[in-house]
Amino acid sequence: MVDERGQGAVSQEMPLVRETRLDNGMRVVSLDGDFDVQSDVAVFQVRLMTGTALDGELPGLGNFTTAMLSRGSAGKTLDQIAEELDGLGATLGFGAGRLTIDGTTKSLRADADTVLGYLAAALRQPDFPEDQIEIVRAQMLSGLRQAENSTRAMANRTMREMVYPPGHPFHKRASGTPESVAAIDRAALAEFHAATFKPEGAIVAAAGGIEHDEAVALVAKHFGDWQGAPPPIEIPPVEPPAELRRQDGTLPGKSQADVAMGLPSIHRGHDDYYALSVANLIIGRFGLYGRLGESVRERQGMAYYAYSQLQAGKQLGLWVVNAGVAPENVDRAIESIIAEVRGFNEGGPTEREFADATGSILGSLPLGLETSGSQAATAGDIVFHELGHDYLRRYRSIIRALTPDEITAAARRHLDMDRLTIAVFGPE
Amino acid sequence: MNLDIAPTAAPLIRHELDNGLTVMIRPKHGAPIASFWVWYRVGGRNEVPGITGISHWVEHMLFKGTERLPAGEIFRRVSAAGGTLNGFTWIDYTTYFETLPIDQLDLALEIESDRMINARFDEEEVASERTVIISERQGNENQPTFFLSEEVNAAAFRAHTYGQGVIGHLSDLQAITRDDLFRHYQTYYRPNNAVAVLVGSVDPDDAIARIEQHFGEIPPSPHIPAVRTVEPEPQGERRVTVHRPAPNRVMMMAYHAPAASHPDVAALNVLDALLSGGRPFSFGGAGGTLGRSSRFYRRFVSTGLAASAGTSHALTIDPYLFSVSATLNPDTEPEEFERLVNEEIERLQQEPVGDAELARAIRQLQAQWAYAQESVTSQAYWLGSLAMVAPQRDPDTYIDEIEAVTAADVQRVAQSYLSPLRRTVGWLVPS
Repeated sequence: MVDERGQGAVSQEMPLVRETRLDNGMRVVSLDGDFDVQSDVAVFQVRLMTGTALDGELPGLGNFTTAMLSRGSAGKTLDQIAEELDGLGATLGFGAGRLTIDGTTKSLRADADTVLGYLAAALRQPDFPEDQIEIVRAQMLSGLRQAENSTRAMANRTMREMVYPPGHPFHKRASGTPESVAAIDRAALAEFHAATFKPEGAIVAAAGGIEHDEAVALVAKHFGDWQGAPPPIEIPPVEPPAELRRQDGTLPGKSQADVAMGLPSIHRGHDDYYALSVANLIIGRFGLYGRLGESVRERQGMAYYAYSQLQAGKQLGLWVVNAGVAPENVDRAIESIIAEVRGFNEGGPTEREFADATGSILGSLPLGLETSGSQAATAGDIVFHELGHDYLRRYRSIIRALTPDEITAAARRHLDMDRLTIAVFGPE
Repeated sequence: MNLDIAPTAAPLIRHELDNGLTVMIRPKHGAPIASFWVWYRVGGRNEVPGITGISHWVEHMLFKGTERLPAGEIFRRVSAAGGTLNGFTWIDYTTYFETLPIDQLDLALEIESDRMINARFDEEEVASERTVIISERQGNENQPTFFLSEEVNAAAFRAHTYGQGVIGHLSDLQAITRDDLFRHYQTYYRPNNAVAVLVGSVDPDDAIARIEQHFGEIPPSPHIPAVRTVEPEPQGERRVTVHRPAPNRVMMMAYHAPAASHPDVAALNVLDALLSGGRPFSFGGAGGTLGRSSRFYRRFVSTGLAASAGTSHALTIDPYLFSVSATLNPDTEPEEFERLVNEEIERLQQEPVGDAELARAIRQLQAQWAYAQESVTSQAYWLGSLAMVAPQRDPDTYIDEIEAVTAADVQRVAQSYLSPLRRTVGWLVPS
């Protein structure tokens, strides 16, 4: 039946990443190979090497700047741009992370040139119109109010503020505070943009019905004369606490408690990444959320949800557990979660868990390469994390080479439950 | 207006098994994957008071164990193969799918053919699922707008079962028995009430042979109950008010609209795009900034009157609703807002839309169409859902109908369907 999972019936060779570097330091990348999407669609994803880690004294500045990019640029208003983009059925999307800010286009293939032009204008020459600034400010403040009213958001935020101490670039919230968001003005937005939105090191991933050379030509056309390097972003490592620490809080009018548990972890380039990923998959992700889901939710009925994530970033990582629990069960649920992880560290995966987890990673590979959007994101990620242009061809053998012992060892090294940071928010 | 889009992929292959199972296959080579769906023509529409919510519950039960596969095993096997899966229930249908590497296609065929006929409906699983379904209903109730749409639906349909929704009344969910569920399953989960859809890197003849092998022995039912009631023509506007704790006032106006088989739906689709942007046809559509030039965005969102405002149009078996909804900002007067919405609708009825604006709306739909072709899952969803609600329609030519819509068509359907006499107006009032 399923004893050949991911083993080889897939005869197509995985694609390679093709990369061309422009003189201004931008890197145009795409996937080359049999997964050619016979597509009428074109996607560009520009990843700039700036992020909310550069917010400085105004938390929320990076997010605010990013939200303004689509709201007027190069002398055109939001209304004008909307009319032109809607007329092509094309969209732009923008997102801000700690280390990168992305701008993405999605359009019909024939309109790729025009639409990339709009993206270039948005990234290079945003106008920051005052009326739009007030609209975004209102939206961000509304979002903050909602988060303050969410046990889940509060638990996660509190946990992170403990894990990353004051002064650390990740300590302050990327979404800002009511005070900081109120204080951001046009000058601050323009300054953040002028200082940090630079082409050097930016990754432009192209996918869809666009050939690599054509993509290079288009990027050169719209971005080639852009110069400059962004300020470097250095994220200092953090140590987990010497022993488990926990902070509790309450909110009015709630019936459920939310638990957030965090442990500083490895970055993407670490040798243990693959083994720890598989361990995490088994502990808290596979199927209906792995052992955590099975034990804490299904068997004991204590949690509405419980899952884990390994957030392995470019420089730093964080291992996180989130659970939604009936308030009377909080302590028992936390104990149960910790016990499950300790149990895994002790005994490792079962044969079936190992086969299921590795099978799922191997089998899902082609599913993640189906659309223009996913191809662009994959190409961009491979280059961002410096995984090598032949990464997709090596990936299967990396996974197949893993052994249950290695997985257990990685878990033991990196999932020390004695040094967790826990935050709980529940009803009053 | 000519659009430079390549013709949609490979031709669609249709086949019918002797037991009545309709099979639709679209080869799509590229990534070595396939998406397999089985659609059953049963949903909220087929329910009656006393068993509302039963179709959705049956859907849950189909993940809770067959004779061959214990509860949870379907999920585990598909995940272990690297695939994704899901099921969902709507007013017109219930559907299940797996998207997985092509060499695992048999797994999908096994799962779907097995649970079409062999689901166990264990008493224990039924009991545990009752709690889950009721929790789901309560989760919906956490959103005050859920109450609004329930009330508007119920008021809009005084006769047809569409007024019941899908999740079901709490009292029904508390009372439904294992035998009720099993009877519902046996009545509607039959090959002659189902459509199987396969999109992926397949050879059609081989695929048909394998589907025949897995499904061919399943016996048809001599009688699938029909839905008889036709909603009578509305005799005037209806109004409902819902008082719930909520941050903002929300308005929902629902106009009686034609069924998917009606020739006017393409024009309504374009009207929808004019008012609030071209919506995705399936998965993988464009959202984001699309639609910011639409009439509703400009008149209500850009101006700060509403946090959001939109329209919605669905393809359904029987005549359903064209909805207009908006979440008002705190300072906006509801009566004034209604007046402005009426003005926008009247404008559509009185003035033919200009060429450029019409072209913009149609272009958004053409682009959304292209976006929906990219993934096997997305293509299969479109094929199956249209086969459910309008089997006589050709899934490949609906976009041609949209492209052919004229300003006169838009004006005509606005006049025919968006009359105040044909609508139900609901307001959510924060309490």
